[in-house]
Amino acid sequence: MGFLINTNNIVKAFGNSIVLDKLNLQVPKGISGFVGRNGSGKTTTIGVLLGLLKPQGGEATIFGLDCWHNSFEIRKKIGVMHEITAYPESFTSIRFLEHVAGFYGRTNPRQKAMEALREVGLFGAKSKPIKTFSAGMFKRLGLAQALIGEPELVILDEPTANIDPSGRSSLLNKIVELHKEQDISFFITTHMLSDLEKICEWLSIIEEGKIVDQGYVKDLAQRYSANLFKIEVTQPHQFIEKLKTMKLVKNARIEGDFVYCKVHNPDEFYVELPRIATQLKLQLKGFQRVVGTIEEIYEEIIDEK
Amino acid sequence: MKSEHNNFFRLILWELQEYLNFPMLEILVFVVLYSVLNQPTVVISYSMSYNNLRFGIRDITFFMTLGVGALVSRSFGSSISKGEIKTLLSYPLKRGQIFASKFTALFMVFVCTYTAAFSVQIYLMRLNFFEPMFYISVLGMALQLLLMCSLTTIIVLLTKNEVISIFASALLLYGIENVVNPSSFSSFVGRFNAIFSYFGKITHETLPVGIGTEYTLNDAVLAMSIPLAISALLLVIGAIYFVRIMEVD
Repeated sequence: MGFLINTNNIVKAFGNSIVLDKLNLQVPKGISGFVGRNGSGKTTTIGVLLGLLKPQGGEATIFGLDCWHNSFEIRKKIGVMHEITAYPESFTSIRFLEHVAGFYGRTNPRQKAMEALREVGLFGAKSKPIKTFSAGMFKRLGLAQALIGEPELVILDEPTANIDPSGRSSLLNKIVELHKEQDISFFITTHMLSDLEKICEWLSIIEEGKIVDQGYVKDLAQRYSANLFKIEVTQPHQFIEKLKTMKLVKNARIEGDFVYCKVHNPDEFYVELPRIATQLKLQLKGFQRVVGTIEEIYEEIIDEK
Repeated sequence: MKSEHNNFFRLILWELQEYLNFPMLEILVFVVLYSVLNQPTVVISYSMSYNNLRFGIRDITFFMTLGVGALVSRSFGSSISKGEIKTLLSYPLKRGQIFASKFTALFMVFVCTYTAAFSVQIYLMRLNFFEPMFYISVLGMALQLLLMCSLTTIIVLLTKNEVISIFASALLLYGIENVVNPSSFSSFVGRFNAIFSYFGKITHETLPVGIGTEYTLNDAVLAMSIPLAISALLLVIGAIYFVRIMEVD
């Protein structure tokens, strides 16, 4: 498979602190998520990919081009929205985007800037100084400047941080729409896993500067959710008390009428489950393996590693 | 190539709009006007009044140092610490373009502002608009501004901190002026006297008032070359550091 982003054993340290430790990240076309805890190395990875930080070892490429040496060529084809944005606050949004369109060599920067503002729903604020923008407007402006160069790939660092639920939802919908209509790929870092749930096709998980796992979400879900069961049983409270005493069971919880149970060995659990029900004289109405949410996959992977 | 030139000029406009907006430019103009016009008139005879240009230029060093230190540090320092450089480096802009445009914009603003304010002296001293020593004075001032801008740029790139670099550059530049012998070429006053005296003698056929030493063409060239050479060296080092070494996090 050809990857848009590919890193091979990237090492990056600041002084004695190793932030990226032989990082092997792969990102295909489509909408990809890059998740990890605070301080796990997400923003540093983006810095390396954009040629802002020089790795001490390994190599990173985007579109097959070296991220440090060919950074200028790469930036012609990508758009970026950083987590902490520093747009010129005294500019109006239209003036700012006009400059950015000019940087990308667009022939009619003003026209392009107006199109971008319309695209993200900021046209009404085109003459407002950026310093008067709300957090949500700031994020939409960030998306507009990332899209103005008609990129093949857009890198978004924590795009939904600090914005309200409706702003978050409209931003995520916009990302999906842009991907479907204009075939733009997105690489999104976040720790809001529920956001990725709605839009993501590929997931890479970073922990302490290393990729602990990555792949298509559906494959990861199958792989890691094999241990999660949804059980319908009479007397769920009595049932769960028994489950919690078993070494085979990692954890169990009740949601509605169902018992959700994570186990160490699914094959063994298949055998044990009817036996426990019979022992407790409960009626086992049904049970099935559950395809987990991204959050569950993430927790599973982190636990396992 | 054309697009690269366009981006260079676009970046200069960006710089002027972002870092010289209200109240920075107004403060700069006020400081410059105050420093230029608040100079004592020494020479009484109007036939010798061009001499006031020398005293005027000499005495504004302190204000030039403060102004340059503050603005260059603010522009480079805050754009690094606030993440503006990071934003600019997300666009297809070459690092060299960003460095060159920032420096050019700042240097242009300083030279234009100081020259505009200084030109008021033509009227106040009843000088002819074609008085050659006015232009020589402006040249001397521009060379010193170039040196100050280059030195401050290097300091701010290394410290990456606006406040530290303002103090470091102001202390260093003002310290040099006070520590070295004022008649040596290490001092702005010494270099300026050499240039002013040499060209004063050529154009007005007498040595300017208060300068006993007669300077040769070699002295004048050396006085002009020193700030040029040091600035060029500092700028090359700064550009190499910014383009090839500096990481932006």
